Amino acid sequence: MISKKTLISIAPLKEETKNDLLQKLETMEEEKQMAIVDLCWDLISSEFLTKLGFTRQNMMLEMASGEKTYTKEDFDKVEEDMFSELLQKLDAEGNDEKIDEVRKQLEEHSGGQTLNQNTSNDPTNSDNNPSSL
Amino acid sequence: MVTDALLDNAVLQDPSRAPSHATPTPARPDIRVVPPPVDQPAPAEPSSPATTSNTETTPANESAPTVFDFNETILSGDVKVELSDKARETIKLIFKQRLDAVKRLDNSAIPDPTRPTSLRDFDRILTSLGPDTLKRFESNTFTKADFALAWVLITQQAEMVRWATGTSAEVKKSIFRGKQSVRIEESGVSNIPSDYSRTIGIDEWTGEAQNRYLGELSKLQLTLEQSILTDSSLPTIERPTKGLIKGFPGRFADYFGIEPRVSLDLSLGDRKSGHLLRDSILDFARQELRATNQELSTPEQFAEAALSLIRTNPQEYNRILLKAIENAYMDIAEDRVRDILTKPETSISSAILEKRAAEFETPATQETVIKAQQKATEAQTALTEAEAELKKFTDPEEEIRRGIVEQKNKIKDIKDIQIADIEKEIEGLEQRRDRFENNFLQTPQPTTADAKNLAEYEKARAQSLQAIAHYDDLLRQLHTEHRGFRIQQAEAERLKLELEGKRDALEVDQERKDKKEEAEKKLKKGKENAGKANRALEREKRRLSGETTTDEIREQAASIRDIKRARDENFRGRIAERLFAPGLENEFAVVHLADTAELDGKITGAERIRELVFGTGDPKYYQDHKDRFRKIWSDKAIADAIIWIYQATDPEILALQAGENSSAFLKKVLPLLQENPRVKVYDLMRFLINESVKSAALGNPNLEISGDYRSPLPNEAEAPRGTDDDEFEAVRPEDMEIIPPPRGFLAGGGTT
Repeated sequence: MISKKTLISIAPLKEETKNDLLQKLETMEEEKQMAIVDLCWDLISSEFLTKLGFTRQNMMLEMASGEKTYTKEDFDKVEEDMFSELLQKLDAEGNDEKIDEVRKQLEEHSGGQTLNQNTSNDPTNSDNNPSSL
Repeated sequence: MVTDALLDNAVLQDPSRAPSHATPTPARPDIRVVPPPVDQPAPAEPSSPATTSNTETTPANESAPTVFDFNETILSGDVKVELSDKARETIKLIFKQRLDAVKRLDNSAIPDPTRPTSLRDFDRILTSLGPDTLKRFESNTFTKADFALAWVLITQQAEMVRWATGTSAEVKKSIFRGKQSVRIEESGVSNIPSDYSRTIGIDEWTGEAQNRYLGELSKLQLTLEQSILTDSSLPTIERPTKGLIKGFPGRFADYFGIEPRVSLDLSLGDRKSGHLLRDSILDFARQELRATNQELSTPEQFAEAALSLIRTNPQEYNRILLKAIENAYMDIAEDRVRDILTKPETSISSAILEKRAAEFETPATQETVIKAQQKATEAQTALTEAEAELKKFTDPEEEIRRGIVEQKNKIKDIKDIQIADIEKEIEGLEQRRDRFENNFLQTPQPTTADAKNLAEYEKARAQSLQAIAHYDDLLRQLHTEHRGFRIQQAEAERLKLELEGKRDALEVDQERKDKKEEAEKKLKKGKENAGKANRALEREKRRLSGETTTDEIREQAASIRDIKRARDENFRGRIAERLFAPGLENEFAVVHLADTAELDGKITGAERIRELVFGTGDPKYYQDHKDRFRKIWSDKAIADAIIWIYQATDPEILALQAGENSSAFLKKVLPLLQENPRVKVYDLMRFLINESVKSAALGNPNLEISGDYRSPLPNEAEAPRGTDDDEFEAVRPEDMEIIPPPRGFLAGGGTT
């Protein structure tokens, strides 16, 4: 299981907030701990999907301008790479149980999108795309 | 493709012909479509109609780069795009109407300080490209870029109608994916009036007319998309299954949607849209834009800078937007952390629902029963201790209270009974004594010559004096007694005052008050825990004895998870999205939810309501488990919820509610859905979901709502009746995680 401390450490929060949370974590009521964990997954999945959407849109822009050509596999690979990077940060590489947990959390916190294969979701899904803002 | 209904659609061509529509504004009979709101930034000189409308340009050879340049690159395939004549005619009609509106707006440049006359960015593009596009549609030589322009036009049109009428659900995405909250723009309350709505009167359209119009626009959008996306020159990326707009795959929104949306948003200036995340992103985006150009200050400049960046360097634009999004997330997350750490909880987490479901699934054994028994005993011990602790505070208070009451009673008793009695007795004795004295004094003394009478007189005198002396003795005794009672009364008064002083001293002792409050909380918690432990023990005993079958256990666990899923779908705004999808063909339109017809013994409206909530996300799963959902939301539960939300007071309805025929009861109340504003239906769904979540968290997924309806008081209008918040709080298990809703996303009444 991904530890609470690891989640707080990698969540996109301000450093002082992370330190504050890490310091208070042990004495925090369980329900508040759960809320913090939930928040961290929200933030991590939001960051993951937002970056993914932007990266893919930039790839499309490169295609549109004729700079480069990408295949569907290229679009998939972006997600695989980002997922691997996330696993590394969460100290979950090579641990099937943790990998499943990360995938499940990303799915649960990403509006129920089904991640295919190695976490993949649809590259043109508007929920991943900045235009959905 | 485009249906005949679109071209035949009276609403599209003349909103005043919409069914049940209010009388159109006679002064402007020619106005058929929505001119854009007039509070948009002033057009930049180079792209104003005066300079561009007569220029023969195409999107590809436009001298200044436009937003369509890169899109044109994408769309520059050789494949001929097919479009039916009718669809083409409709597009032409919309183009003409919009261009007329734009022209009128632009011609309104007569100085009027109270009324900005500038065009939207999109209108400027339309003015520049629209006439040529229109010609190409007329001559059937349109390009795919023309398609793109038509798509954006229709999208804009639909969006403006939605905002102007304020009747559609504006699905707002919350900061956190997967937890969308929904704000409903209720008709007549949250619509955003503009010249458009005021002039054309579309805000007076019926919901049906609005739906029909939006539905037809949506169909036309889809037609354009389907035509374009058959083009093999486009990147071969799998199509998404859902898009930004209902019934609209995301691809075109990806390519084109961002430009008008963001430029319009940036044009808001300091005005807030009310959407926390979007406003925050725009704030940060402006900061980023200002970092590259210190001179940016007005909304128009920001809009221009954003548009310019999109045209010239979309990657840089994306970088800025990404950074703004990240900053906005972080900013709002900081608030959320503070909320978690400092604020009391208000909603139930998914984790607790899952935990509750898992508890059902764990097999019961002798050990689990013993463990449950131990927990129940421990909880009872803790409860006893908590009671003893509180008694330390309440006992002295009670003793003082009793003492005060006792002294008050004593005072009253002495005064009203004993003293009153003795005073009455004294009065009586005094009267009798006085009578003797008066009689004696009034009797003339006989002369000495009358010896006989004199002797009698003397005898009577002696008797009178004896009697008077007797009464005097009695009166002396009574007065002594009276004094005694007065002394007792005074003593009781003194004791009462002394006790009242003690009571007052306790009341102002803050430290003691705090400790007592703490003890009270402990006792409340102790009761909750004891109740929970006892319920768990009973459940374990039933499971071990086989009283609860495995199938029932599975059903209970599955039901709890179903409720969790429904709640999640609601978070994501998908239920509202389905509910508010335009058009009567929407199977969840209110008319269908209110349908009282019976099919195979099932009331259609109730079936639709269950399907709307539990079938969103996975329709097949819903179909496979319909019976379970009928248990989760029985006809009676739905009907009771309707009564609560619509506050029905009709005696006939209340009589049915009290009766046994839930089917008749439901049929009687379902029409209320149609007789009230559509937004109420969403309130109903939200209420049902929230109540189910609370009930499921307590281990009972099958919703029951108390039947003792009463009109809610003004200050409790939002409080549910079945599992009242306080009532729920009193029985909430201690392990039930409760988290506050995302800040700022619950405008107009929040939910879990």
